[in-house]
Amino acid sequence: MSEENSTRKKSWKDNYLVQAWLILLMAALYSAVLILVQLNWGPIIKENQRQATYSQIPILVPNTDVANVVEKTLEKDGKKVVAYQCFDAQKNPTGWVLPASGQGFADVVDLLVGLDTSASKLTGLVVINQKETPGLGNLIKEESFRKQFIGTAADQDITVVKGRDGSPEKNEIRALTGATISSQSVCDIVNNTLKTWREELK
Amino acid sequence: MNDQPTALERFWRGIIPENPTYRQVLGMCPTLAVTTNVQGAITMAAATTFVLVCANIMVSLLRKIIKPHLRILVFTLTIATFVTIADYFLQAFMPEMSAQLGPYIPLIIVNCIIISRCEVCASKQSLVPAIADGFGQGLGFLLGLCSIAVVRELLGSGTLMGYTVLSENFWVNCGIMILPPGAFLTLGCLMAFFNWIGSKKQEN
Amino acid sequence: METFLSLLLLFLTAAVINNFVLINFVGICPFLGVSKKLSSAFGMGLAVTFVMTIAGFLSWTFTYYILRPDAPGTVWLFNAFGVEGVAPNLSILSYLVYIFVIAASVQFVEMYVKKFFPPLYKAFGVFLPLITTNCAILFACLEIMKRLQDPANLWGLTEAMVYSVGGGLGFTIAITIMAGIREELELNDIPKPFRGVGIALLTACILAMAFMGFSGVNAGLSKWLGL
Repeated sequence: MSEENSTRKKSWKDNYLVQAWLILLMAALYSAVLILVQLNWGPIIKENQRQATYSQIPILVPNTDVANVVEKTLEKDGKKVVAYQCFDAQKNPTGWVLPASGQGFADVVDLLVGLDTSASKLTGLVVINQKETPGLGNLIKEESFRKQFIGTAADQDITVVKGRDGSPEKNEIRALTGATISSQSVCDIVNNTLKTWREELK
Repeated sequence: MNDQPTALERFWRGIIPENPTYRQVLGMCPTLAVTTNVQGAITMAAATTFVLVCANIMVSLLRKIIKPHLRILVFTLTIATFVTIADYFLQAFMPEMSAQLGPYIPLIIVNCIIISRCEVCASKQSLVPAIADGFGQGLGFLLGLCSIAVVRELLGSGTLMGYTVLSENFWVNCGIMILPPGAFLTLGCLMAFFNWIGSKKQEN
Repeated sequence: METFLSLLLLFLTAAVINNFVLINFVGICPFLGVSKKLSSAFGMGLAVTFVMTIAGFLSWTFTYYILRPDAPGTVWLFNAFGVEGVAPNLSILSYLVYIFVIAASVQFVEMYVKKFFPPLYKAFGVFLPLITTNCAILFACLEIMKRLQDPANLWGLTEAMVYSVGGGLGFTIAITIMAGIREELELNDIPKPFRGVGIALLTACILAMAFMGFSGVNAGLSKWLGL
């Protein structure tokens, strides 16, 4: 009997879609919940990501009114980057903000570089993402290191000097003690980015 | 169902006798990765508890109609959905914490604690013990994470919850404690310590 | 040539410099659980590498064409259903898709290996079901997703594949070294509280310190190679 039962014609109840009705129902329910989540929280997340960049712009380019910043997509040799053209409250241009990223000591380092209107001088630098060694390399995000970049010329390479003695000359950055590679990486990232995109900023 | 533990027992068991970190040795990835400071540990434990309780509720409610051979699929679907919700919540309302925890929030999906609690408790017991079990295990996980995070943050950066405790005047931060080896070292020593306490208790 | 070198660098980064187990803390459960014997540890490592490669390929394909914001597939889908006023973005489904992609690739690998390579199946078949809940594979998928969010420097399929294979090999390296040490540790007189997981974690601590010696190698290498 049992053998006969097992070889009997498949009834609709054996169909795998019917067997899995609970899963399908749950999938539908969960999708509805996730759509609600996306519709309600999606815009907030997007605004947060925008804020992460925009809150830094007044630090990078002084006198900028964030409301008047224009995003420009630059293209060169198949590469793309979004640059931010900055204006003050009277809509006079104040400068540019350029995102830069590259290999650091431990992982990828993401920076924002502020430039003046003719893109000839740096007006600021912030680190938005880094995983450098705590206590050594992660000091690149401290102001004492970053402020060295203010006023350096953008059309020539920035170089790193080691050691405490002697004050750095023009376009020289003093490396952090015990984190020469991190300091060097930041300079290289800035140099490479400027080399690629400086001419396009207009 | 008489042989199954009551809600209160479930809750208590999760905290000490079946502590997820030190007794069951489950969920090791977040235990090691997000314990560089106490805030990160608390957020991680809270997110895990949320997913654990929600998944336990769903599985417990559906336990009579889930087909046994499809149950893992149901568990995974449920867990992944709640983890997505938790992740989006953090991204929307605590963006800095979300950036700090990074991929370890989505990795809650494959945290063995949750799927094992669904299997061991929620798929066999009614709603109240399942919720109690979720909170108990979550609290146990919080204790596990915090014990490691307190040691690592205190020795590694001289702070607790971001407030300076060990002043730089007399304390040199051991950077190694917030680096990966520090995580293994702290967990290994704490685990030996709790084993030692456990064996002392048994002797008495 | 430059592409090849940067791929090589990516491979090295995934395999040793930012080792999955010892630096990123993923795949700790099998790292502690299946590392008592050298042969089974090596089998586990190979199984993970295998599944990670397939899952990396699938998750890149899904993410690139459907799951990332403004992906071509999603745009087409939204147009086909006439959805308007909402940005085409299905990234909220990412985690669900990844976990099922991993489960499916584990099933697929299991069936394939069982049918065509029975000796291989005997060697690491038992580990395959365990891999579904191995965080290392989901971590690789998430990393690939992260690299597909930023339109400025997208990862192509090649990068994603190199990263997954490298990550899998990194896992194999770590678990094999660990098993080698633990086999020797069996013969030692270890204080009672440290026996089992405790001493394994301390061993991992020393291994992690050794692997930290690699950090910075990628920055130096990329400079040396002129990338």
